Amino acid sequence: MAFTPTDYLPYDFANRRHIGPSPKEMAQMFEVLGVKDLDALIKQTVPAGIRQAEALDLGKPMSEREMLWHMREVAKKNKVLTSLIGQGYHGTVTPPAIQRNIFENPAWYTAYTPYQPEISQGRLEALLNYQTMVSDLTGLEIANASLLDEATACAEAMTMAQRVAKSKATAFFRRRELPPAEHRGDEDPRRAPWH
Amino acid sequence: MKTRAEPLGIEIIVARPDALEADKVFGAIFQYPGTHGHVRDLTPEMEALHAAKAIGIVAADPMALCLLKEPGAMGADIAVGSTQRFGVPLGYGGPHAAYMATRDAYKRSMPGRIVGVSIDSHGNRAYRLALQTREQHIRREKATSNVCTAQALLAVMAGFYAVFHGPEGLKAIAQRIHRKTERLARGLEEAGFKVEPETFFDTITVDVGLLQQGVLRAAVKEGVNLRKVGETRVGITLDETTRPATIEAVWRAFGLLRKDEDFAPRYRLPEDALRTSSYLTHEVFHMNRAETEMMRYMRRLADRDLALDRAMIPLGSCTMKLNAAAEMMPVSWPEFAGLHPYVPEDQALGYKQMIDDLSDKLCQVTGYDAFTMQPNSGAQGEYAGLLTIASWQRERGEGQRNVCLIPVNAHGTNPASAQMVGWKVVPVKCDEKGSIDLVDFRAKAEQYSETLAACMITYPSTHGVFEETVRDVCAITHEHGGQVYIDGANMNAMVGLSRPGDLGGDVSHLNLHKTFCIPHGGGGPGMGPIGVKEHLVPHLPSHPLEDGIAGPVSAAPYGSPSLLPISWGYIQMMGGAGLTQATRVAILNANYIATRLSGAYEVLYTGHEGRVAHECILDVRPFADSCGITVDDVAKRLIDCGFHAPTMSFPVPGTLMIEPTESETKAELDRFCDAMLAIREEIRAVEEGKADPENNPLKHAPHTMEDLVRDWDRPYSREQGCFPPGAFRVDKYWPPVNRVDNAWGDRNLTCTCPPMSDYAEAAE
Repeated sequence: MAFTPTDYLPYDFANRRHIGPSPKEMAQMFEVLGVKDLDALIKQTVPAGIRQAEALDLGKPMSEREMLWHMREVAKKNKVLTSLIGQGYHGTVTPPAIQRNIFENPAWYTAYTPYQPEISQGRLEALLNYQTMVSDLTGLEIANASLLDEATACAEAMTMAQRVAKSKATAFFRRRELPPAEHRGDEDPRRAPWH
Repeated sequence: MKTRAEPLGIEIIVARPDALEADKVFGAIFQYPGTHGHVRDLTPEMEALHAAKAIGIVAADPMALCLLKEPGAMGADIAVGSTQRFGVPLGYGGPHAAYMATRDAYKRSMPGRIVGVSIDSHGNRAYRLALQTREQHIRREKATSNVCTAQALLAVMAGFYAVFHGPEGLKAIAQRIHRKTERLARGLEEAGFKVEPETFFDTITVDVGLLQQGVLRAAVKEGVNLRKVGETRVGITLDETTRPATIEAVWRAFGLLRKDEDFAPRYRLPEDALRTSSYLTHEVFHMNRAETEMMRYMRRLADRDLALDRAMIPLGSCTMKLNAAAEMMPVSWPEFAGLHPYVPEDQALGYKQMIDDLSDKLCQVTGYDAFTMQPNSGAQGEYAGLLTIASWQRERGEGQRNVCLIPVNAHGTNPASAQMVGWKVVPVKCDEKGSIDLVDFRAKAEQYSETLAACMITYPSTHGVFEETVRDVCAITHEHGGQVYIDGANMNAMVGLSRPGDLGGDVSHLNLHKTFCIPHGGGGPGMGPIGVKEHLVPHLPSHPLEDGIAGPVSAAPYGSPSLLPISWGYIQMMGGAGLTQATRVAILNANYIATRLSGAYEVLYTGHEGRVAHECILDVRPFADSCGITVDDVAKRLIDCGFHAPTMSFPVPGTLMIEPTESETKAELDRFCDAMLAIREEIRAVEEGKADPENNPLKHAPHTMEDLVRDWDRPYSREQGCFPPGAFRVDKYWPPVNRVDNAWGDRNLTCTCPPMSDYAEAAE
């Protein structure tokens, strides 16, 4: 019979998709390294005294399709209502062209921080556009290319104010109404609204 | 903010604005518009603060600023806010980009990354990060904050949103939001409800007395979440997506059967706080906005950059592994992208299931007992972890403990985070192998036995070595009353092989954007959840809307939860064996590179069997002495070969740290090794006097297409210059600029788009 059953696993995500070297390549690499196999290399690399006692077991690995199906089932448990809650978070229309060409485009999302400017001119220009936008809208001369979230930005602004103020006072004033992460204790917005 | 203030000895006064006593404070912050909708010109407050030499800060909604007087015009010194509503999905709280802007006079004190304009070696305009000496990774003692990861991808999106709409579009969107709010308010008022304030932008507060719960519940039945304000009010904030049907649904929740059909424009903006200045005047915000133009603009910019979709990015300590398409897809699903962070819990049960299961799996991976997803970056995770320790120390009556032992080769964020908690950093020596000097560690721990709060270590070490003494370091710290913080930056060398919790760690953060596949996004987003041992669980950062022992570190309860499907999907597809195999192959790939390059370069810091862990450090310092070729020259020459440079000068100045990750194939590793070996031969030619010390391919790197086509007067060939080993022939990556002059840009600082006349000059 000319037919030979294959033992190739096309949906094995870990070994087919995520991990780069193929088994054949790995064999060639062992030769260069002068080791018998991966176990031998790990034995030389990771001291026995720090190895974990039991193998990591997180259940049966899923194929891409299985994972997405499962993810879909979990996603369905979130109910998407129209939220008019505000407090720093708002509904918005992501222009589809931006969603497809930036948000879902590996050329943008897999890039690293632009510390090497010669290979980062595209995103540096995009970030400069962002800074120009912020600077224009706020009417202040210089803007940075983003902080983690508004709560962090408020805290950073406070510590920056302490650094640059000529006043030697040690207190900081906050009007009684900032986003919830800024509200602690008695001024919880749900309990003591300012109006 | 309170969380950040306490360790710094700052007293926060929270009061109504008329209670501001400017001479008692160094600064003050005002939200604009106010959270309940009020809009008022803040000029008097700013003037009072300036008279007392204090700083005025305005937290402003950028959409409102399209119609309302800008903070700069009111005299503000600093403005902050979120750009989420510029086209970035809610995502149950993140990721979104926050902004900060300030006056020119304070630019050198501003935290975060700033993009600036400079020139390249041919005098052409080129962008780069400006004022980098402010960043903690370069000047650790004077770090202004521990900010490292920003939200670059989301900032890029928000910037493009402005390019897409231009000032006319933004103004129209803002006006429509306001008119819808006015229609909503009018409908409620005509039915007899008391609506506040009188003038507003997009937010109103309605007094409903005893009906509050009924209105909120009726709204949910109508498919709308409103905001509970106090016990008798309801808050409503409209946005770009609000449709007449939404307004009618809100009315029904208030018991009104009314049609939203009177579209005659009416405005209730405060007359004294209207914007009179123009904005977004630069050409880029006035392009033809046809999608063809926009699509091609985005494509042109993307093509200038080198990302993982073109080549390996072998950055040590950054773990630039595959971000698989299947992992990324759910991030865009409306069920994950469309949730507000403060929706009732029963609307986010999917998120809850995911977060619980992911936390459970991360506990199994790390040996910890609980995780919090709140920190939005590794640095914020460090900060949150140290706050957790500080809170625990206080509760057991050891609040005086304020010393943090940190080895000298630690990542710069470690000491910066410790300083933010108000601790004193005591450096610990390392031996010649880069491992912690146990004798010095023990001596320091004994010396500070009464005040030792914690130690912060990285495992494997920042030099990429599995130190065998790690258990001793943990034991000594515990003996002297301290807690052990293990930085998870190098977790990619540990998953499935070793667990920080078993080694003696009390807290660790995981960089989900390194080890667990969240992409780097060109400088953010990131996630830095922390895992802790059981005794620390009550001291984890609290929910932003609830009281806890410790304060929150993010505005949203789960940081940037819409990224979590990436890590969760990755773990589910890999399984325990797959994750372990990934770690083993990461170690294989690093050792393969180390072995192939070891004859040409010295590989520093190997373990006692001559192996490295998941990354390797190449010493290029000798070449600076022998022939003047620097680590920069090698890094820039790699661009000609089609590679992003490895990590430069960390943890040792003048070296390259290479981390290939498990995701790179042998072919790609070989391409990289071939490039590095060819570069070594080019260095040798300079060393042996066969090549000019200045006029050589290393010093001229990177080479642009301009170099190729202009008159060639170099002592080496075009072929050698532009197509070194590693470079693709057909798919050659051409950098758009030559080497960028950082110092020039810092001397001539421009951090907004340069005027068009400059573009013309550059083209000449």
